[in-house]
Amino acid sequence: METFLVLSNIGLWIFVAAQLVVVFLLSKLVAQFLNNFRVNQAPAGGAVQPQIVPNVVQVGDLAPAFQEQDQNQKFVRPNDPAGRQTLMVFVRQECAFCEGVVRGLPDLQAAYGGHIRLLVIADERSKVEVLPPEISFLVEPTIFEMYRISKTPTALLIDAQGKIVGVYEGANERQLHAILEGKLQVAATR
Amino acid sequence: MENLALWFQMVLAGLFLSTAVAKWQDMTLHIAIVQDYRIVPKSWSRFFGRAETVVELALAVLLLLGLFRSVALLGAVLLLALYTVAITVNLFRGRTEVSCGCGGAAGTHRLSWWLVLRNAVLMAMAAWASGHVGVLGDLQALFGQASWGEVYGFGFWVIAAMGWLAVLLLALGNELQAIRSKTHELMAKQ
Repeated sequence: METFLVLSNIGLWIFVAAQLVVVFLLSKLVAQFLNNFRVNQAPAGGAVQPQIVPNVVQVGDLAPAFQEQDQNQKFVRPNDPAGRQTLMVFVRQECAFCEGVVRGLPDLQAAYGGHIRLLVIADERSKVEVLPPEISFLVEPTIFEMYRISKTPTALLIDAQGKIVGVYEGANERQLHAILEGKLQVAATR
Repeated sequence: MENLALWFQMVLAGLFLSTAVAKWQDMTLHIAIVQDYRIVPKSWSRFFGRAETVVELALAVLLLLGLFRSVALLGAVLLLALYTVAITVNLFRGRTEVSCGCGGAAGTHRLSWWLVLRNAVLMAMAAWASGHVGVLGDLQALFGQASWGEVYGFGFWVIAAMGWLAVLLLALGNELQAIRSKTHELMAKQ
């Protein structure tokens, strides 16, 4: 009888511990789910009410920080320490449309390299290893998660202070040319 | 007394192990948080972030195995004192927006006096336990006169399980707190 009581006591504690683990994992999932949303601030004086929207990067946000080694073993961050703006281009392996964008990047580098730093983020090396050494690339799927990138290609323009000044989803190489040209013209007229 | 010291030891071991693993999994973020504390020079932050995580992991392993327990517990006091000084300095600077960088079961919080109090309690636990270590759970005692039953008997496993359960409860509490804060943030502005 005494052995039975000891065993049932141990069994009960194991059951309680297992339940706690399940509740913990469940609460972790709920917290992760809630972090996918944020409140979109209404413009001052506007009639639009604040709304709960998916938590994606937006113009005006600070680019999430990271420091990783690129293919040249150089440490890169979202903002360029040399003071140029950074065009961060996200490409995925399964995105056929991204290939054209990657092929067009050397031309972008040749045209705007003095004013804009190009940084390519990929989930697979094979997609980006064709790039010339002067274009930094990182094979880091975690950065996709960090920036909550759901569509590719996506390009983000980040200023020298690390603030996101442009978000371009699905832009092809010609559109990226036009965007950078427009941005540089605006900067030149200031 | 010996039982309570072992429970404290297991709680600290579980906490250190979970926080060290969380920091190691996202070292880039951890180094960024170390930089954000503005205590160590920026050029040292990479080394400091890694070294501090390795020390934390080593302490967790020593406490779990019951090796050099007094030294490991005093090491835990010193490490916690280091964290507390860094938090206090930033609180006096008024920088409460900084993330504590605790991670794991210790959760992710903004800096507050509550964290200083929590660390003070943990330091008191470690300091007290370092003076009350016994044969129970002491691996080194096995190399002396003690038997397996004395060191790793039923009592050891009950106390160790209670310690790990306490860490799990703490982690669950942090997750529920995170859910509560996020829900308030989303609902308050609707």
